[in-house]
Amino acid sequence: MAAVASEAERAVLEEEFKWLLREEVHAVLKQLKDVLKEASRRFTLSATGPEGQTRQENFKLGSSATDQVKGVLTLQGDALAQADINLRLPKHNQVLHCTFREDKQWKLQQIQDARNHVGQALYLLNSRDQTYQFKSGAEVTKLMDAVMLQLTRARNRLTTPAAMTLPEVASSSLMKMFTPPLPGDVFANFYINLSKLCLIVYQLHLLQPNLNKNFKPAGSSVLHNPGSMFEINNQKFEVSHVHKVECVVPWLNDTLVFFTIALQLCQQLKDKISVFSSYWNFKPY
Amino acid sequence: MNLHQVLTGAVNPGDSCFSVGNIGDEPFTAYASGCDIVILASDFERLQIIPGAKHGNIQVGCVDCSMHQGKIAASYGNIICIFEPIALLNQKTKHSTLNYQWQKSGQFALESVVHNLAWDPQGIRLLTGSSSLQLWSNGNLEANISEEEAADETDPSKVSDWRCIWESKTASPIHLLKVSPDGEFFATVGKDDCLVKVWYNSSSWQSAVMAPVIPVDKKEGDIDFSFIYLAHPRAVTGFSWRKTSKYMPRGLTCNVLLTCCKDNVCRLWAETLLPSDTLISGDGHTQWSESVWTANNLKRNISNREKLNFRSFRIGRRRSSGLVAHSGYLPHQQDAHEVHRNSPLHANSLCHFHIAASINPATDIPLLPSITSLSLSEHEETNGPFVVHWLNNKELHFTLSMEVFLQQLRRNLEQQSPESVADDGQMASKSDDDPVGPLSYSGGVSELARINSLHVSAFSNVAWLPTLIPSYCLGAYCNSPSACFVASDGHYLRLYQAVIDAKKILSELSNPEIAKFVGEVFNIVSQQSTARPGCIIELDAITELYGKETQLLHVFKEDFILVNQPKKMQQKEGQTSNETSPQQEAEEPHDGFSEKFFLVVIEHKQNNRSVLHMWHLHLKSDSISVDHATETPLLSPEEQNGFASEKLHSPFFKKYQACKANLQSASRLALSSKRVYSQELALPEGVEITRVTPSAGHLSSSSVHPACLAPYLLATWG
Repeated sequence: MAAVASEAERAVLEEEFKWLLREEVHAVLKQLKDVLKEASRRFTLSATGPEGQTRQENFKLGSSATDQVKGVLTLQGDALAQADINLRLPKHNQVLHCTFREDKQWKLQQIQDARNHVGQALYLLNSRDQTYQFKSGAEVTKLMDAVMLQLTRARNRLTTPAAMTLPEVASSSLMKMFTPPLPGDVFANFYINLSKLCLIVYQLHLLQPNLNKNFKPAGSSVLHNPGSMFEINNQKFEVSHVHKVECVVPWLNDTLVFFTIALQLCQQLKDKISVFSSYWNFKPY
Repeated sequence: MNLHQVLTGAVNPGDSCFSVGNIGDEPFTAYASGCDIVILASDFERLQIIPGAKHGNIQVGCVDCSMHQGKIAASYGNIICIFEPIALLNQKTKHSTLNYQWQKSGQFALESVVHNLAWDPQGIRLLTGSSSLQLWSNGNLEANISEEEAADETDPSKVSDWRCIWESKTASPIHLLKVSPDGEFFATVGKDDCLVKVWYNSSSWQSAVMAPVIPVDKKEGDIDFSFIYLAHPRAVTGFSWRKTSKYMPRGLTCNVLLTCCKDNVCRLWAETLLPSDTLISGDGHTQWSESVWTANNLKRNISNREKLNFRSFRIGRRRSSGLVAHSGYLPHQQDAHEVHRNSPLHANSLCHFHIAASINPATDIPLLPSITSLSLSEHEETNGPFVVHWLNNKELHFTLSMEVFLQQLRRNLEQQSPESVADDGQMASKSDDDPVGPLSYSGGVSELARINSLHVSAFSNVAWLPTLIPSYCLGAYCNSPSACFVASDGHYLRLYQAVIDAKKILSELSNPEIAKFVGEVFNIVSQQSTARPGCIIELDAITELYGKETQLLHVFKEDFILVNQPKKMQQKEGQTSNETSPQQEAEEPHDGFSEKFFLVVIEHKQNNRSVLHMWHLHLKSDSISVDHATETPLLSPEEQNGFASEKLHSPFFKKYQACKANLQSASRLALSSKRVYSQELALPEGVEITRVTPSAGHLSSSSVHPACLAPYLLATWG
């Protein structure tokens, strides 16, 4: 009845699909390449300045509430070149001032992974240049899925810090990087959370072995709460204080925006292609 | 002589030949009529006609007016002209509030014929739909608006500076083009197209996000549009945006597009608006907080993460993270707190529309008889398209309330300022409209009927017969006289009868049962125009047209050149007509109508020679005979009635009888014509006639009592 399409409508749809494959796909790919080039540029710009010299950005971390933990972190690309931490903890009388040892850098794996994924996405996009002719909608969809996967992974790396158990935090090489070394009852951890660089300082106290407390070792977590317990070398510890200070890294903010836009562009193109497949089971789509 | 009235023609067909615009707060209407553009004020009083003669007499294709400065863009074939209103300060004009005259301020040409035009709401840029979709911008205006240094400060005369700043060659030519009221989107659709494209400005997010580092391959001020599809099951026949009040802040209400489709369902597509925070985290949470990450439970972390990451990219189009593209949000300059503070500003992103509602007349409108049941066959064309229009009542209410509020505000401000305003404005000036003649009391000229013809040359020349057909010729059908004219209908030179009040004939024709009888007698070829319709009846043909150009068509009474004969002829005619219609009512005069004329035609032949033809026309009225087989004209109506009473007295039969009686009271006009002259005009060598007019003719007094025979003179321009 009214649902039966006329020949003219089918012909117009066919022409539209051909135009989509021929022109619009390349326009979207170009937009994607531009966005991701900008994103990858942010990663490199953070490490090297316009003339190629090494560049460092200092981030002041502190919390407005208390003055207990303060730090200035120097970020160079995907690594922390320097960490200057001031600890004024309740248990200790004086202010602890710790810095990284000379020539030691703490690689922020999250940033490195994100950058690699962006590079991979760009590689996929560059494999199809302007002159390439897409034969079918499925081909475009496959390409978009692959790019979206890389971008999603890149995003996830930035939004999802690694979850570690407290013993893992204790045994990470980060603890050995400070000079003077951190006191035995203080752990520190860095991670990236969305666009923020965070420093976590755990203050521990030793649990007396004869105290009949329910000991339940805490599992992996990004951030452990006070009261979490763990055991190292047959000694049981409990987290008494957790200090978290953070700072927004602007270029990470930008890259996250780029990821979102790029993902939306990919999704939009996939949607445009899939519109045609819903019309009368048209085979070429 | 005083100008009494200028008649403007009808609007050109189509939906894009008229438009309403505003100058400031005053609305006006502009429409295309043939090759002219007519501008009307809000009370439909005509302000100005922009004549087509200045633009080469090309038919105007489409017209659009801008919403604030009152600019008019019109297309003549593939040329677009821009007209701007100039305020008239000293001249006294008829209209009290709109003292403007429109003058051409720019012109540019496209590669192919323009089908659609649309201004953006600020009236700076113009969208054109021809073989491709283009956006045109006037460089001068853009420079002024953006307050950069005007590049053409030294050259104020460089008015026409329109250039194409964006183009998209779509798969099929644009059929409909409309801009949303806030200028954020525009929608296009092609002919027989199931997909509406909604276009949005993609350079807004590009420029905002990449502002610190401009990519090398992008020029400053480059503009680009992307689109999304709105998919329909059948071809889209029309769409319209919901009107947003000009007082409504931008971005506060979402844009809604109403589309009408061949499947008889109208759909409302609304812009998807999400809170501003989703751009960074890509999810639908209003407040991104770290409480998620402080959760201890691993499992909960993962599931939350999944929700946050994948909600945006669900395949179904109902919920997505698409946000309204808006201006200026530089991510790295704002921290999370600022983002929340500026919450009305939506983050940059792509556009998304979702179906908010659909209206199916078969199921959603209980009182309306089903549209599909009206169709007699399966063919889709008999189903009238189901169209829904916006009422825009909320916008109207809002605008009116805002205007009342602003007015009160103004009044309060004025009261506060010192009373220094002089009272000049209080002297009211009375302007008299001098009535020209009796026509002005009856309202002037108005259209009664019209004939359309597909032939280009049809009705290009018309010659009226200088006589009025008396009303008795139409008998019971009409109580007004009618007139005849000679015109070409593309094939023949033909006589037509124009009846002023043809209500009775038309009402009989609309009755399908007796229409065929009436239709046999009266061949009506016109279309009605008003509630008191006239009609035009096609009569006999005179001759086939030979050539393509008729330079003169003129009819005059035989009396002018043959004075002696009329009286005798009339008596003779009176006799014959009495014989043929003895049963006419007593109040009718005895002679039927009968007059003679000469028709002069000068025809311009291919070889640049002109030929003059002359026909002798004899127009007389013949009484109408119905039921040719069963009766002769000599039967009286009483006898006919008696004969008929034997038949069943069905209602149809009664109607038929009434119809017959009506028909018999009328007479048909018959024309007999005879060519009397046909020769080439003797012109000197190399001379060609371009225009002809009769220079002497129906001088009323001399034709009644001719003192001498008036010579028939033709004045020619060569």
